[in-house]
Amino acid sequence: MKKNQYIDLSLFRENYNLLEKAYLLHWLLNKRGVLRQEVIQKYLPLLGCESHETVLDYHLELLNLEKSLAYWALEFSLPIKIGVRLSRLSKTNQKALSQLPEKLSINGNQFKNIFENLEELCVKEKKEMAQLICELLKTENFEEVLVEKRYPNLKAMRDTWNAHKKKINFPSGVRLKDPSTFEESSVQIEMKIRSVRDLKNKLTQLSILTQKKDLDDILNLL
Amino acid sequence: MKPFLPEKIYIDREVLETRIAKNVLSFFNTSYEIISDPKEIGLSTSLEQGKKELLVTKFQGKVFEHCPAGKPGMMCCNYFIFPFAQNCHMDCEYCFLQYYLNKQVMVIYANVEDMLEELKKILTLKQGFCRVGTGEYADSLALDHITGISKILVPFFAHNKKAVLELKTKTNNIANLLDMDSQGNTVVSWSMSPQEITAKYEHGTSTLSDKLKAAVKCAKANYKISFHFDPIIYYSEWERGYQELTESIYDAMGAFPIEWISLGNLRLTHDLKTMMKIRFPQSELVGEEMVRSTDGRFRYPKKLRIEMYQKIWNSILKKRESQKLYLCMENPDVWDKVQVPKTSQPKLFWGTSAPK
Repeated sequence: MKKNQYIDLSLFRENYNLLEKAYLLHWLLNKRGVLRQEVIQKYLPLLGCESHETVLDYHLELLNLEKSLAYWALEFSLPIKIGVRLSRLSKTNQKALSQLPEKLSINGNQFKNIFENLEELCVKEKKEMAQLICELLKTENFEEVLVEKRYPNLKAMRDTWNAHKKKINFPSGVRLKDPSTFEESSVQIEMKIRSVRDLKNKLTQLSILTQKKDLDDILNLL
Repeated sequence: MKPFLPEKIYIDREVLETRIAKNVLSFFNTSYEIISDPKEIGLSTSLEQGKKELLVTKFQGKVFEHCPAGKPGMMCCNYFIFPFAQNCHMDCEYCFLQYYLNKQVMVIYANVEDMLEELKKILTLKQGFCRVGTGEYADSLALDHITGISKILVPFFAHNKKAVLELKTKTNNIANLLDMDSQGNTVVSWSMSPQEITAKYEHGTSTLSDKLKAAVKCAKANYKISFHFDPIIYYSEWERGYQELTESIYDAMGAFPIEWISLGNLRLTHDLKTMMKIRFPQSELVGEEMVRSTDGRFRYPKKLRIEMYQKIWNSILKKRESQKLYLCMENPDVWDKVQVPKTSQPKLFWGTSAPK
């Protein structure tokens, strides 16, 4: 084995982070002049990666990440497919996004959800991500407002549901569970009982409720 | 349809002498590589490159399987798959094949005659009549001018009446079909969208007008015809778009019967959405409001889906009152709310629950 190749191989380990792998692959291709096919077949598996053209391309794209955003991508151990999408954002959008973890004190999952909602909202509203972030930062609850903007119909359904629910006087210890997406065809009623007598009382009260329009109205939302 | 011009052709040594392999080689009349280990081909190829490579090999799996799209809790249309090929050179933005396949190259299985022998045994043992389709993992006709597979499939089903063959396509590639007698046992079906949707999201597929011309030619050649409004895509002009689509179908088809029309709203898995964001970052499809349904897939909100189904269903029944229709991959609750009259559902696959 040639000396250079020996050094190259000894550099490759599985426990590098995504960006370290990206730099190593870039170095192999551009400084060492190793052929793309050889990098895919030989070096990607040494890094614990699938031997696949796309995997190489994804890693190389990560080199377009702004330092501030790259830091969070690594800190949150974001999946490579998120990393690729982050790296394709303009520098302005990347910088705007990178300020969120500290400003909102969020964890990796929250960051991932926020980013996915933001990228979908950008397409829907045909706006730059930085502009959306700027608008949302002016609100009191960034995450909540973002989800409401992303899912306006779901929000409207939930508001209507809650308005109807307020009108219904369920017996104490009886609770109507909220549907998560209104895809459900039924909802659960939770009931706490202490005795047979208590159960009878609650069933009587529920029976009276079934004769009122409010219960019908709320169930029609499903 | 966008032409398929492979940059590389691999032929599995084991199928070199088959009719399909010979058809492929004589069509392209170009260099090819004979391989002994087809498993290795396409495993490290990107999706984009894979669409430009063709592997002709031997199929070794199950020749008859239930459509994997059915999930518990969803009504199922009882579609069985005969997997004659894999992958598609066209590029619909919403296509599940983008994330579903391990091997990214275009694959054609050349041992179709052996596969059909096995299918014949299965159908003999199977009770009742069923629908067998080839359009789940590939377009049924996109490469037919190259492979000539329909010349084997159509005669087989013409003589095996335990099942009807459905050839599902987004193309007008029907030339091979026109001089065969299907004995009424092949349904040629088209996946239909308003032309503005096709132009925007269904890259490389035939235009609406070309698909309709092809449908009429097939009807004249005594094939049964059906249409799939699937996926139905929401956009600001959807009501007009699907109304016009319905009208153009019946205007073109005239008095020819349409066996069935299926309606299915767009559904995306999380993995598919991820792939779409990478491959089509500006696709408006991922920007629409979709919520997770009981089977884990993302769909438009139920209320909107029901409205879309009702309006499209009614516009179809206005054109032809006796038209058979069904919903694809919807839950019983939506079927109930659309108020699907049982008389307008095709008996062949009505009301079957998805297998667990």
